[in-house]
Amino acid sequence: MKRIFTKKYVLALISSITVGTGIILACAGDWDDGSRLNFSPEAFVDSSYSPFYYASFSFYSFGYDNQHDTRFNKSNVNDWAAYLGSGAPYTELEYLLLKATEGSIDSAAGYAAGKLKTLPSSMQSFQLLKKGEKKAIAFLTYLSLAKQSEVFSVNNLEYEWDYESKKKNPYYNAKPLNNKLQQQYTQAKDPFLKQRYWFQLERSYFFNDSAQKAISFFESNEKAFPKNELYYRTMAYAAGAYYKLKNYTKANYYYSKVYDGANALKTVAHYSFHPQEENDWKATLALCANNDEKATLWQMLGVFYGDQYRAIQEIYALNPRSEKLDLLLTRAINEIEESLNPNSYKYEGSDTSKNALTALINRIAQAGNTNQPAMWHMATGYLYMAKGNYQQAAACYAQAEKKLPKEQGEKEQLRVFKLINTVSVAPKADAKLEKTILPDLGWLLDEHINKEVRTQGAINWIKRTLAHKYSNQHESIKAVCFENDCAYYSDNKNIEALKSFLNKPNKSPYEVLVAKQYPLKMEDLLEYQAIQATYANKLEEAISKMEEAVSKAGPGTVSVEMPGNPFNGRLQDCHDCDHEAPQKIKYTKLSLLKKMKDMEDKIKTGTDVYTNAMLLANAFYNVTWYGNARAFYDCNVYQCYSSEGTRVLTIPGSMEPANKYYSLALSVAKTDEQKAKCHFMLAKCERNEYYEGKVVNNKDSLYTSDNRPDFLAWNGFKALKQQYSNTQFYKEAIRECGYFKTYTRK
Amino acid sequence: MKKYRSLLVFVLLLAACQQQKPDRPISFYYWKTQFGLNGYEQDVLREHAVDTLYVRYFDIDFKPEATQPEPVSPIQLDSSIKRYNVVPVIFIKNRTFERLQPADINTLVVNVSRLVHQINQSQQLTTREIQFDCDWTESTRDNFFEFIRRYRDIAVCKISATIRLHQVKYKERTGIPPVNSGVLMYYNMGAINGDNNNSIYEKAIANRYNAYIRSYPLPLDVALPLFSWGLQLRNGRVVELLNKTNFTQFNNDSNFTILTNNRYQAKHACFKAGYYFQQGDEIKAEHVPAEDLLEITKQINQHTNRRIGKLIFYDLDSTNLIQYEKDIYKKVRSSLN
Repeated sequence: MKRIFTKKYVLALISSITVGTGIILACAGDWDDGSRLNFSPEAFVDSSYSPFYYASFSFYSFGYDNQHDTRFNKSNVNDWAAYLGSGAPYTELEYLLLKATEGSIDSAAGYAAGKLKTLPSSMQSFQLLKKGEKKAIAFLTYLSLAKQSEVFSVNNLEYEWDYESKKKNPYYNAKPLNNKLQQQYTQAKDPFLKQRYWFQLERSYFFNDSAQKAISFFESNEKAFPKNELYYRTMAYAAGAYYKLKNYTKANYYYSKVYDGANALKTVAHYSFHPQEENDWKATLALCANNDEKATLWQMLGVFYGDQYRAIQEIYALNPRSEKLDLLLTRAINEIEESLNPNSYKYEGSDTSKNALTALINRIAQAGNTNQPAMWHMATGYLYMAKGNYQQAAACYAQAEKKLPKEQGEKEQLRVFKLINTVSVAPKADAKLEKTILPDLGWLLDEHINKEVRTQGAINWIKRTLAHKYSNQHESIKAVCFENDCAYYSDNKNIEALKSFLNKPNKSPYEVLVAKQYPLKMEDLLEYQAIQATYANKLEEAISKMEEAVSKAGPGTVSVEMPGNPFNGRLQDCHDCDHEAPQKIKYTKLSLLKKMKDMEDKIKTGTDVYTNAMLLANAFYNVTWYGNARAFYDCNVYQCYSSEGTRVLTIPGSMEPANKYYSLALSVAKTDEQKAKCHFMLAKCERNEYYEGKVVNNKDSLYTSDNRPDFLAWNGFKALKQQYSNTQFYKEAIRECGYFKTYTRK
Repeated sequence: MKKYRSLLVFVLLLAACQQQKPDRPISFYYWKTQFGLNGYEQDVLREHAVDTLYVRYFDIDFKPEATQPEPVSPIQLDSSIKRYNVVPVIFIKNRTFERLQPADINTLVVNVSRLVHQINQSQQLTTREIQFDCDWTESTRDNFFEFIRRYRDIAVCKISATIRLHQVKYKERTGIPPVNSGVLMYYNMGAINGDNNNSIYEKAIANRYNAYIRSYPLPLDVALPLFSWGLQLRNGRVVELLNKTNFTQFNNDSNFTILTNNRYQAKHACFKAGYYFQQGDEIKAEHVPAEDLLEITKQINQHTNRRIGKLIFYDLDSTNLIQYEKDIYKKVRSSLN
């Protein structure tokens, strides 16, 4: 049983942040890392296997391994720090090992040995170099040769687009270097140094000499060294040498030992492990010294080639208690989970193969002889649950409970599964269920409680399921709190009911939990109501709701300023032009509404009716989708999309209030110029209404442009042409609007 | 006599016309990451006087976890390439243009042109054309076309692009790339699945597209398929593409049974040719036999109005070439109008 947040795990996480951004960014985008799947490898599997936790697209960070040059940076520095002791500050070692050039290391070595009098400027303050200790001199001698090796052993992939850095130098003459390495290797008495020279020489043979020589050198000396990370790094080169010779049997055998022996090399071994023919594979199995080595090979086959069923069977037969089963089981369950996802494009086996796998897992769980019996019971229970056999699932979870170890991860996993099962089996979401699930649901949904298991999938599933149950029971408020439903907002009664619920004092603990799940806030609802009231031409109500929203909200959509002057009315709508034009007064939603109300009041009292009606009409026009102030209706409720990703709430496009005030302006217009302008504006409204009905709200309109009429003459155009062709406005309209010009020539 | 004389003149004229018809150049795509030709490949090129190779220089991909597009597997050239005129081909994964921000197009253009230059420099090559191979779609066309336009602004060379059949048929939606010419990829037209159609070339499927070729508003060369591959099927679903696999080796392997002339089934789970097969997996081998290649030229003759320029075979690899008689290229060339 392994805890996930061991120190090692945290270290690995830190190193992955410093080494590259790949893994971090992977979680940020639409990269599916499998974290929405419920069965958590983190709870059951040693974290050293984390690159092989199931992800639907690929192995974690795989295919994108960019650590070729940096994988061992940290362990190198750590190894040397331990060897050199307290006299070697970590930062100095980091600089010397990872940054210093070959030339500066040579100078430093010369200085430490007393041959040179000055240090390179970057190392002037280095304590390590000043004492002239034997170990430090040996370190620098080694480092000088190691730096020379970088010419063939380092990829320099820092800059992806640089071709030169990717080219290996095929003409490198390694003879002098190899001679020096050989000499140092032979002379070295210190086992630490000797092993490092062994590694250097092996690597140089791999790149620069015959494969056979690399193999012989490894095999004739390997017994002398401890089986540490460096040993397996050396072995990986011998494996590569066998691969070059097409001896896949031996190469794969070595890679399996590397995979099992050194966590940092697991990904490398994964890349390189390639049985070609069945005979290679059988021969590799035959090389194994014991069942554990065989289990490693079967695990590699099961994980790398996706045959968990066969691998579990084989390993279980070799050793039921093998920890190698853990990863295979979590991958198998995650794969089945993936196949239950209707949106998954990935094929994860037929029903027959899934049934066989389920039977196998069940059989092993019942035998109870693995190292993690609770995990197998949970797996069986989870598979039952996925098939809707909730009673059997509950029985499995009860068995798991009896075998549950102390580790937090497994306890949490069981808690999540039991909660899902309880919700699944309940015919109704009644008071009894609410009472039963409250503690576990509260725990699951509380973001402040750190959890070791994956919860994202369970949270989504439980919320959606409860929402459906409540919806069927006509408890739409609870339903919308668990799963926001855009259609809910089309009825103002619903919004009022929701507001009352959110405002309700003395909520029960369950109601508190439900209200907390609602993704929007009171001010969002008020803002939305204010916007709706505006389109209904109820400016007073709109102002009052908007004022309330403003008083509750911090900075948000409610305080946004309109990007252009919403009182502009153009012949040709040009949002960008309006947005770029200098504005003396910037309007927020609220100040716009107040200004509109002023105008409305003036109209009512008969003050400058034409101008005010025209400006008010322009504002009503501009706050729709067609106008320059779309920001007016941008609010959190409008951003609601249904679960199918379609917009349920139609974008405001009604021309009704604008029409009303343009018509009013027309009725009081005194001059032909004024009247001409009104007709043109009314024509724009008519055009928008046409699009609103025929195109925007018509799903079939896409790609059917051929069926549409190529020209429509609006009433406003007709009036303009028939009655006002002598006006200045008419000429201006012809100049500005090509469509109108075309009409006049028809 | 007079009558015969005029007939004679006509026959002579006809002969003269025939003599003047120049041989259509043929060429090949080279699609491996390390340039090197074996004896067989060199022979084929020599025998057919091939002087131009379309060489994949690198791919471009915008990986999900990356912040910018990156080159994938740039080719390593050797000096033998200097014998040929080289047209660098850059394969751009369509998802690159799905995520690329318009503001970053210039950077990509500069990076690509610099990398092409560096690869050319490695063998002191001069190239006069570049080809972009991208299965662009309606949603990526704007970025891809802008990329090409910007490339044209900085590079003094001809620019061509591969054109897939669906892009020909739906040109109103997918648009015409702003290039000097296109290469019509007359293959990979079908769905890659376990049905009885050949996903590389199937006459009935080709017929759905043929009528549109004639009116495609770009000068076109044509690329024909020489490659073969296998589809590994599990319960009727494709789980793996088996590239460059010689399928005769499945005939004598006791782990497999032969179902039909191009289908095999794994009797037991096993490794074969570097791939792993679960028990029951099927393999559907696909390739385009010589008669189909000649059928393709017939189709092209019918539907392109003699407008096809070069003939380019995909791809230059002896494992593909040995599956055909050596005169196939001549036959295909001469059957094309």
